[in-house]
Amino acid sequence: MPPAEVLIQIGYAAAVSAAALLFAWPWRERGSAAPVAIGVGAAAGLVALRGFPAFWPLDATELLFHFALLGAAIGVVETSPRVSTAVRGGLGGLAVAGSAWAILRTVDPAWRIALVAAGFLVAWSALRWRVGRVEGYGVPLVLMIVAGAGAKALEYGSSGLLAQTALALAAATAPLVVYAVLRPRLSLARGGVTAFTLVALPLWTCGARFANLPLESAALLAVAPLAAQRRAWVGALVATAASGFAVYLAYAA
Amino acid sequence: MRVGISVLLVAVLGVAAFLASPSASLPDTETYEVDAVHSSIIFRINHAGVSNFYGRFNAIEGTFTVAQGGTGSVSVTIPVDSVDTANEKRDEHLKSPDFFSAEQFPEITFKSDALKDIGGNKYEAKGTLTMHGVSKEVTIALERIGTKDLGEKFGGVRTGFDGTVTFKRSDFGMKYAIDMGMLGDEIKLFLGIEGIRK
Repeated sequence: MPPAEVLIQIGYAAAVSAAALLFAWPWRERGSAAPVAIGVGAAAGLVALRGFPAFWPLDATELLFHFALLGAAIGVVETSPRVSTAVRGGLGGLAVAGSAWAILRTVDPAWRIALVAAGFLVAWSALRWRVGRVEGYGVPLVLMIVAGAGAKALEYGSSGLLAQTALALAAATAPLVVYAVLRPRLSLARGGVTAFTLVALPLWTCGARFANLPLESAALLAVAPLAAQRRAWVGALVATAASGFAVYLAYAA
Repeated sequence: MRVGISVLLVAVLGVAAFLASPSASLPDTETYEVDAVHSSIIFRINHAGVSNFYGRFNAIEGTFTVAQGGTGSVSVTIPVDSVDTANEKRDEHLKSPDFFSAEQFPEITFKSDALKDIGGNKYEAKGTLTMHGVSKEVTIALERIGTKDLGEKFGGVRTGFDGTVTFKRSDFGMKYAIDMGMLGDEIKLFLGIEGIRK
């Protein structure tokens, strides 16, 4: 259980996310609220936890704040009806692949960064495809479960800071579960997936590369959101099992 | 009288030869290589306002120079991976992004061209401390403990310093657990450095 101060700071992520959803209610049909809630909510949580990061950040993990805001911005573009499919996919893909380069550029050779970037693209595309077939609260519920479990795995992986970041991401996703109950046709395929992925994938990678999160745990956490399906409780169970196993691997390492 | 002049001449030549011999002349600047085996880097940090906790770095490399006038320079590197707090889990935590982020910033360095003798075996080294990707000016207070020729078998001439320096880790971007009051911001380093003359 994190200290009360940390819980309060993480509460900012949920509060900002909920505020974004309330504010965007009049434009709910476009779906722009979801990426804003996830991205800006997670960024708010990070500011509460670590303060505003420097630009350009020295430490790779400080980039997560910028990725959260970038994810929100790209998510809004993705939900715009005026933007072509190619631009939507191109922007998101570029940002997701670029995030791998940004965090690993000082520590890894180009071939390894390319491999990680390719993995990011596959995970992001697969999740977009999967989530495109699922509406309602099942998807945000799965994302929240995976981020929450990731926090525990990162705690076992020797980084309290990264664990708190994962908690902030889970907290930013939580209001979307309630929002989706009120608005069952909510889809995160456009925007929401990119906003979540742009924080989650670099976060698991930071855990594996800069702390002691086992690679297998990071990979499991990256694919666990694919458990989302129409029957929300089944998706939640599968995601809990997959991300729970990721936590176990981190604990056992 | 002639004998007296000869003795004087021999004596003068003898002194001149002695002064000119390489073994008698002291170098203007002595360069020392840090002897990691006989050097210690210990740090102190407050734990939860309850106690002071100590840890160490087990490796150090570098050189320092001391000139005749008491001035000199220092250039040392400490691998972050050598941090040792007698607890493996805690050492891993210290190497994580919460603190040193050792994968990204594997070394701590201190460079100074302003080593200065301030009298009574006391020295000051004003220089740049770099860790966690951040460089800051600090002044290390030093005391020269001694200089001795231990003979060829023990590496020849050795000299040693004790030193201390205090700084805030938050100045170097390491802020984890300060807000919560679990770990202090202020770090005090205790240095025991021995060098072998090159």
